[in-house]
Amino acid sequence: MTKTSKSKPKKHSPRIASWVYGVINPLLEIIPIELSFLRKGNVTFRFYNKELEFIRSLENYLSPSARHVYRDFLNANADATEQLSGHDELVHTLESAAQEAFTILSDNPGFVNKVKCHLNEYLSAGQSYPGGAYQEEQFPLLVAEHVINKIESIPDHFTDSKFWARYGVEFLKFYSGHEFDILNKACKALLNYDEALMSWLQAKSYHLCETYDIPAAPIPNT
Amino acid sequence: MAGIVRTEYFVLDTGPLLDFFVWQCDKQYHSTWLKNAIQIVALKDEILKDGFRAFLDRHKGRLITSSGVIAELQGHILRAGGNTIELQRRFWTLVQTQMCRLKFLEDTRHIVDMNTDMLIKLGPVDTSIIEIAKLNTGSYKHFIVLTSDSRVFKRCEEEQVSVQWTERTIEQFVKSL
Repeated sequence: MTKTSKSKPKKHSPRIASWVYGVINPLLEIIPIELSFLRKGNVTFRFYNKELEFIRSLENYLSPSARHVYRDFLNANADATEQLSGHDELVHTLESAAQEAFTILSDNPGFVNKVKCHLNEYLSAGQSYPGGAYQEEQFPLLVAEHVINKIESIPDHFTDSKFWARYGVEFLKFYSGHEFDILNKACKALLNYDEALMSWLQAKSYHLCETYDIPAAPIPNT
Repeated sequence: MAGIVRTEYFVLDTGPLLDFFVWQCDKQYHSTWLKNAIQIVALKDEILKDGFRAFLDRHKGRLITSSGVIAELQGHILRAGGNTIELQRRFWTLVQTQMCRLKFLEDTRHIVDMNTDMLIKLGPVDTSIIEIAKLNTGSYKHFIVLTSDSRVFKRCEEEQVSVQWTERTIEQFVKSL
């Protein structure tokens, strides 16, 4: 619950500085990473736990020692509660949409057969098994994960890099249908929200620095 | 999908390991030497400390760090004034004993193979930690970097390397006991 403090912080307030350094600045640094995933449609879904690995609730981006500062920031700033809570709701919606699309895709016999067929073809050509530590029966799930994440290419230190370079385009054709439309919308909704959130965080940081006369980042001792 | 069980390996950076050894040293030798000189970063209370010890025991044989991290411990010990043979002997005996008991794995990344951008921003020790996790991630084994350092956390996110805050991981582990 957001509370209104009776005493207004003074200039150079360490409390205000903690909001900027402990919450706003880390979020301004990490949200662009989230945005870079979302712009590519990569929701970082993982089939083994059905969670989004690198798209997190805001509190989980902050170091554990900053969580108390985060709560204080939310309690003291009604506008922050309004702005920041929307992010976590959209992450939850995105995760649910990814789970739903993944279930539909991994239950699709046409998709599973195609993965098995291409895997056999790949192995017959003398290539080594591309699934790394995953068992062969889990391989269609890994491929489905890549489709959910709209992966176009896989870095060459991954065991399925060559496999994906050869067949990825065909698998990405399965990114269609009602569940994928919902996933795409959820991804865009979070993307738009994040862009607005970045602007709000920048404005809030400037406002706090101006009002309380604090530097935008801690100045190292000289 | 509920049946999928993944073997998790944890890649530890200097912070949690130093915390752990400082605490163990204090406990084993009843000496305040290290505790007074080195600030514990992640393992702030007794629950977290005991939790971390139990966590390491649970993941025995699935813990990994880089040789650089071990070398970095030496720097901290010297800065703590541990330049007498007796203090050094105590500390390193404890480190060897614990690492042997926990079947700790140690890996080396060569400086010439490191990503230059990461090296400039994070230095060789943190870079080696991230690259150990990254290369193993490519083989779809689950390597998770445990850190209390926000720069390491951020870079892992950028590189799509699994990363968790040490404190949160231990808290969750303790709750699951």
